[in-house]
Amino acid sequence: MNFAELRLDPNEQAFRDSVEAFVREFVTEAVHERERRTGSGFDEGLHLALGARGWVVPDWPVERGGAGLDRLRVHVLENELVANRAPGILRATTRLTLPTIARFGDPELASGVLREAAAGTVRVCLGYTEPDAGSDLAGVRTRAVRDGDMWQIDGQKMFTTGAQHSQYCFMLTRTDSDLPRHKGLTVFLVPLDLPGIEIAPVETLGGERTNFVYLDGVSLPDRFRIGDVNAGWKVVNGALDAEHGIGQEQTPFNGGRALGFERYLAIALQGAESWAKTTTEDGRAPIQSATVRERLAAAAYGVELAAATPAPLNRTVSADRLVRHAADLVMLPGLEGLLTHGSEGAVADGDLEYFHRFAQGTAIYGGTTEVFRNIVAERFLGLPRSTPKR
Amino acid sequence: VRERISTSAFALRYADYSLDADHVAVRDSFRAALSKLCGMAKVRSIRGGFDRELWRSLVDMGAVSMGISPEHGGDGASFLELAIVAEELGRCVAPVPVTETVVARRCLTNIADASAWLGPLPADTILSLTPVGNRRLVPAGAVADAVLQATPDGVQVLRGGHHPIAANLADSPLAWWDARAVTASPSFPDHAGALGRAFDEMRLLNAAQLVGIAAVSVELGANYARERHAFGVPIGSFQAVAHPLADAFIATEGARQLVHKAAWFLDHEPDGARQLVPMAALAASEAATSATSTSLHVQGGLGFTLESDTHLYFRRAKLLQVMAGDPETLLSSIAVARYGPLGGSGR
Repeated sequence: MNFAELRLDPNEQAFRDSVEAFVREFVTEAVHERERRTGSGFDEGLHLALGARGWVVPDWPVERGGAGLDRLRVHVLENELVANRAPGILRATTRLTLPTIARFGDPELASGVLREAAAGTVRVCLGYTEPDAGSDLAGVRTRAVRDGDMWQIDGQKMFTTGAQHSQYCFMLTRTDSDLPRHKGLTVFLVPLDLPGIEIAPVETLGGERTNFVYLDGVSLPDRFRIGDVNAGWKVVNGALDAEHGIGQEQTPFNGGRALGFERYLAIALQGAESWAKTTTEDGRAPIQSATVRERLAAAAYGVELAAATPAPLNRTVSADRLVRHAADLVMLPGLEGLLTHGSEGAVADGDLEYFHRFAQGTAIYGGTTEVFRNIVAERFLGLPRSTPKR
Repeated sequence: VRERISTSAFALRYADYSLDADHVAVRDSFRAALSKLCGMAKVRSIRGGFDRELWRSLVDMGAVSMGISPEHGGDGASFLELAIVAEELGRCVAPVPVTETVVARRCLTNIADASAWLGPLPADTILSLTPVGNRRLVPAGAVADAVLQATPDGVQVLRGGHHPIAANLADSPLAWWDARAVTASPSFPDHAGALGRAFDEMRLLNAAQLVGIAAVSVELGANYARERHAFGVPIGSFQAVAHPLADAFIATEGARQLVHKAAWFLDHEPDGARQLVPMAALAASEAATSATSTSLHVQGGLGFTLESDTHLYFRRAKLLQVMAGDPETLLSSIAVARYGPLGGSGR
């Protein structure tokens, strides 16, 4: 057990300085402005610059396109990127799929994808959810039908966030409707420039752009198949567990959890504290009110509690606390708290209203907190499954 | 241009919640001993919330002396280890005033005058502590040999008198002590703020006990939900039953790690503990409320009867929650630690 400040040796400090210089150069106000406008969660210039340094997959060895960073340096890098709100959705989704592509994919395909993903030139989005299957993922209907050495895929995917900036979609399809639901699925790495693919934007309350991906007679060589035919459930489970923080590596720096959503609550709280410490027209600062102080204290408590909760349990707490406290913080300043970024008098540059919207998605994407409670009940408490087995 | 994020959530610190081998050994040895010495049948047979036989066994095991520094004749355990032991005591609702005594004895080692006034204390002496006031309801007061009491300008020691148990929800040996009706020492200065720290330590050890109570309560509820059938299926397959249990479990795991973190800060960086102790107390209190209440209600009518062990946890939880501090008070303590006293500049 240890919570001491990190004492960086000169080499580590030089690395930290280089990360800060990188962030100043590539995570600019222009990047933030574009992100606010597009909500794409991705900036190509930033992503390619990360790739050029091996920082898309910083813990991978240099010869595989990583930077060979140790756990401390990885922590320094990730911490700085999140603290500066670097757009990084596709960096995250791409990394979730790479171990699975390496393990189950055609070796030649995998080696090319891994090399280019590390360089940043290839991005991979997740093709799981469909209009009729999200939490109940084994219900996917997008069909893949074999024709010799080719497959034809028809159907539609949704919430394929980042598809418009991705080269591939890691896609779960149905290849046999006669088998039990979990057994008739197959995963493909679908190149998104194939004829018959249409990407249509879906706007969200959180300002993030996501997509529909329509597949109409898409013809795909068999070498893009990931894993055995009808073994798709096993194939996606590794990537799903990684996304859920299950089996996550504990390091002395990460508290046994991913960089959880409580980091966003910490940012929102800093905005609210900064507002509260500013003297108003009547010569007083809001922080001098007992009510204001205690509501800020409650949010600070939410940050610490979520940070102390180990993965995968952290996923539920950090989302729930962000939802709860963001909703509370946005009310503290009155109407000014509702003003959006750039509006005159907007509190914390509009962060309070932004995080109140953004928070809602964190309890949904990557598996809803309700589905997560099922997982906790079954895996940690040994309770019988609550969902019908079909 | 956006303000650079300076919140402590991004400070470059270790975040290593793992227990060392020594911590695990302490936990396992106390869990094993308590499973023999303090089973539920034993706990149920005790009246007045105190088991002297168990107390003497725990004193022999070093449950009190471990918290005393070697220069005062103890074993010099870290505060974290005391929290680990407190969680084990909570797990079996142990009817012994270990936490009151260990905290008071640690305090005495820093107030030499008070310690000298009391003279040498036998190993199984029971101590407690209480805030300023004439007539106070004192935890473990019915069995305490002496009580440390805050005064406006320091600390005094009370001893003597007859202190019958004040009947209460948790069958805890609470008793009234009146400083005017017992032998009271002079008020000794407490330059180092030892008593204030002792109250913080007490708060955190109560939080640790609450974590133990919450953990076992979740187990009791989950065991029942696996076995009890209704409508032809185990009731644990209903999400209305499973999800509150999952929430209580998640809250308990988080509270445990937050208690450990606060304990680490008390050991290493006491300034940082100022906000973490009330946060940990709040987390443990919320976890225990959720776990004991969910466990009781998952067990339906049985959970409401005295046949189920749940009521023992339910009762003890509320006692410890009151001792750990009302949520509003804890939030206010967090605010003082973060923003300074109310009426200050808040900067």
